[in-house]
Amino acid sequence: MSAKRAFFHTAAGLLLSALSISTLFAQGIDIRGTVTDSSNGERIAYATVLIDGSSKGAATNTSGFYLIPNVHPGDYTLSASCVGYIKHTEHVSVGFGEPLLLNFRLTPEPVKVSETVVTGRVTRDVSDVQTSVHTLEPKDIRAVPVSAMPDIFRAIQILPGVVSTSDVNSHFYVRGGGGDQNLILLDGMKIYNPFHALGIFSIFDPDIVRNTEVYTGAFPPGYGGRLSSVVSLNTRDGNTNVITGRGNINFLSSKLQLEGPLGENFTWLADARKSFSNTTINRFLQKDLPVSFYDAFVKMTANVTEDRQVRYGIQGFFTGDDIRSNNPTEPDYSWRNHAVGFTVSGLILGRVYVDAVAYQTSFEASRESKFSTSVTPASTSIQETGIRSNATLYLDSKDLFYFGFEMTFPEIQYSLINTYGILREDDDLEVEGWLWLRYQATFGLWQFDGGIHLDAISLMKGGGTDNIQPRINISRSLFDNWRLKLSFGEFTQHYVTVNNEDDVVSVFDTWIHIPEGLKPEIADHYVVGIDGNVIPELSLNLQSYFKDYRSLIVYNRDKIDALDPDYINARGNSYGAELLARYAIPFVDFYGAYTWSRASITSQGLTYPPRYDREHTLNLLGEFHVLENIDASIRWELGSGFPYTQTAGYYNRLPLTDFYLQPFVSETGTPYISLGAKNAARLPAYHRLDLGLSYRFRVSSVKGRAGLNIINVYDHQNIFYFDRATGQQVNMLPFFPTATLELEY
Amino acid sequence: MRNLLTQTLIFLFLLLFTCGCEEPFSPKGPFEQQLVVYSVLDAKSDTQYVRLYLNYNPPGFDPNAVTTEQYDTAALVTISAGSRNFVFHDTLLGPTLHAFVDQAFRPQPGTAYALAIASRFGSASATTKIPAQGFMSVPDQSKLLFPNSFTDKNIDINCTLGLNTKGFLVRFILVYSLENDTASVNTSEIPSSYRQDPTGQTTPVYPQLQRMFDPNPIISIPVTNYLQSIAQLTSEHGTRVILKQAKFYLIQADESAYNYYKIVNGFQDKYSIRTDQPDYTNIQNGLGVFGSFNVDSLVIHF
Repeated sequence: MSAKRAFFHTAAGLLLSALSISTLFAQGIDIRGTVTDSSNGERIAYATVLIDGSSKGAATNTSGFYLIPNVHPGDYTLSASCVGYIKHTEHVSVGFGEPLLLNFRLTPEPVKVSETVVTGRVTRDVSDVQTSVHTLEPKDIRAVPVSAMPDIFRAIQILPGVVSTSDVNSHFYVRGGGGDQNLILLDGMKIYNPFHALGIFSIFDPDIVRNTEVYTGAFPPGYGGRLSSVVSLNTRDGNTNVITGRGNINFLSSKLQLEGPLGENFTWLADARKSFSNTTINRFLQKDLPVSFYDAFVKMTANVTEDRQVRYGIQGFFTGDDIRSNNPTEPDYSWRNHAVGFTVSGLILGRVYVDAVAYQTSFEASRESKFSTSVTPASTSIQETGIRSNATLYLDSKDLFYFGFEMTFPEIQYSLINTYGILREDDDLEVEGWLWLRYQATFGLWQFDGGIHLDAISLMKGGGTDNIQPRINISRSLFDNWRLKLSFGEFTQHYVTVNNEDDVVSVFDTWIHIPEGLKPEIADHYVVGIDGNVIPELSLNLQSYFKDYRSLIVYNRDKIDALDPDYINARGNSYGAELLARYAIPFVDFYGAYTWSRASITSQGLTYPPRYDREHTLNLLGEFHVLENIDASIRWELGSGFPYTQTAGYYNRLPLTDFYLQPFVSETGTPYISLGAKNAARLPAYHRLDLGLSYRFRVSSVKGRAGLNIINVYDHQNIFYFDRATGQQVNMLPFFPTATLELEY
Repeated sequence: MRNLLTQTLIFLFLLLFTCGCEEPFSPKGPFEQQLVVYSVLDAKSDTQYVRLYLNYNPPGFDPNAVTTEQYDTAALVTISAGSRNFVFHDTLLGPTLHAFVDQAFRPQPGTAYALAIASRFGSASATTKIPAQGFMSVPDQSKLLFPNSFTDKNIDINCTLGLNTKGFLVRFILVYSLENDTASVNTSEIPSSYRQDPTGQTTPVYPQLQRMFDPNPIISIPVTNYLQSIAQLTSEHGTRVILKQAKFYLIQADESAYNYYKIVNGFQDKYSIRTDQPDYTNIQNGLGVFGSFNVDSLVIHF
């Protein structure tokens, strides 16, 4: 039997087993439905639906769906609540027979100085069994002062455990992991290079995103193929009530978003951004680089049956970036991302809710050397077709069983001229398949969320036990609302980028499958944490983690010639502690995150910190609701210095050309930099203060928001990189005020 | 509690404003004076060289600001094998070119030698093992004399490599003179292959050091390359070409010489997509390389 057939047989077996279990556990009447935003019909994730006077309840999933199983006939009062919305209550009568359908439409809290809003956001962070998960809503992303436009990845970088190496690069590193170890999902579709030119911004317009889940470690079954983190973005469906539009203009780009209903059952959303000025970017980079980019997103959603909440969706995501230098000796670059997906979700049987997506995603990049003598032409691409399905079986109110599968067919191509002047081309079609089982339950004071994630294709190819990956989260209520949490997870990764690990900015990302004969990258995560509210207005979350990188792929530093592999397996580890505090009083919403961490890689007898290892990171963010129409935000980030390999001296290196023909004594050497111990020095500390001010207004039916942001208020010279050849210090963003205007009708 | 937190906030914001001062940093770390040593012992020569100079630290970041090598002509440079010591003497080889030379030292194949340098700038040491004598043979020598008689596709050279060899190289060189100028001797090396670049242009590729993994390798040179080289000479000089000798050289390099050569030439790996440019040295407390090589040759007269 082929691996693919065996994979699908196993997946089908799991589904049938679950359906049988579902029937066995059906002993009462189910209450189910959705929770939506009354202003636009968008589904609300993580809302809570409770039966008053009982312990029964449910939280909505990312599609806004909830199901409370096994409710005995009778009269009940149910309430639905969510941060930022007014609590809504319904009285229902549960009879015998069919499940009860109960949809909630929550009204958003008016924008005002509201204690309810801020304290709600405080408590949100402490309500999950997971140790390392953060959820970001659009308002969280907007709260972070930015250089030009709100950005999801910039917002992620204020989370504990997340590090960025520069202001002008939104690549991020999580708990000592590499930049290619983050799994980025857009509605379940894998996005390989989610950055605009030079990584200054992510390619995702925050206004298309309904919510963002960020797992910084020990992520649950259902996510695989990356070692360090998962960023899962769920997009909006579009307004179900009226056609609306939103425009935005800032120094860097303009944006237009349109959305609305189409007939009774359809909604649509279209969004596009386009750069129109290089001025800002050139100021970032302190050089003249004509950069242009665009991104566009379209989505159509059909709500077919309200009873079973079956929905179909089709979405397309397209981005492009070009760097066209006017200098003929500087290379040109271009990137393209495409992702097209078909989604379906809904109840396929009484208590089995399925989310599935079939997609094709691609990333293409090319580099034209023009007349450059130091850069060669190159191109790379990944095209991946995949299908992913996750089913939730609602066994009881606090008893859920998840299972699913994902199968992808990534095809990786690259073509480049190597340093030896030889054209290198590769075209590699692989298959990856995962199966997972996950069980979530509450036993008294204990909560359990765990299961197994199987790298099924690797197992069928004869892979080892590393492909059977346990993921466990356990929490125990201590007192009041304090919880102790423990997590463990094992992870593997088969694809890596091949950039020089010491490059400051990876302009050109080439992905490769890990070469034959090498183990995949493997990591074990151990996390322990405690969280709760000190006072109602102040929540604390303290976590400590250890990551054992049992296998990493690094350059073979002892490579001599073609017989030696380019890459070898190495080991590494990272550990640290994180403190997250949220404090909210009527006028202030305060967020503080401190991370202490250490990371190291050991390869061929040498142990060194990776260049993204930062020992101390402090992020402070304050949101001030100054007046009814005015919000202000202030952010300060402090980071200790990144590792740096200092120049130890220079010497004239002889080429020993034809040393066997003639004495080498007359050769002239070429100046060569001899380096000190790898990453032994530390750059100066990074710190920056940003301010943001936004003013909301309304003119007739048009709502507007004018924003003013000031980046690096006290103009601290944070080092971006040094050019070793010239000693020139290139700094990150200087004092930099920007303005933005957004209109919505 | 609220007051405490508010005060803490105020303190933090005041603190951050005092953090605006810049912290100095230089990409250049503390400079450590080191000896730069180059010596590749030749088992077929009575004269051996050790180049010795110093690394440097220009005032800025432009290494070309330092235009002259700094030597320590008073250094004590010795190479020893067991109880035998060879002391090298500073010699001026050019207007500004110094090297330590011993003109009566022929390294013995298969022997290990230790280099020791004592200088007022520090000391350095390294070792090398001279590759033992290797041999080669060309089974169909006679066919070389009558190129058109070849029926095989390749000219095979059977090699026997000596101990201590990490890399080897076989070169095939035609020695010729021109009619009316028989006194002069010219050479032309037979390429091991031809490479077509992306523009479609063909360039010859000459043999390079390759790693030994079989002590008795057979090196095959395509006959077409041999014929093409002869045709090229004919096209350049017409019928005035007089072929005199076919010379084969078997060059064996020890581990250090081989490693250094490959590293400074970017691994010579046509499959690699790595972009880094690492360094190599086997000099303890120094930079450069101390290696050795040995040569066997075979001459066929036309």
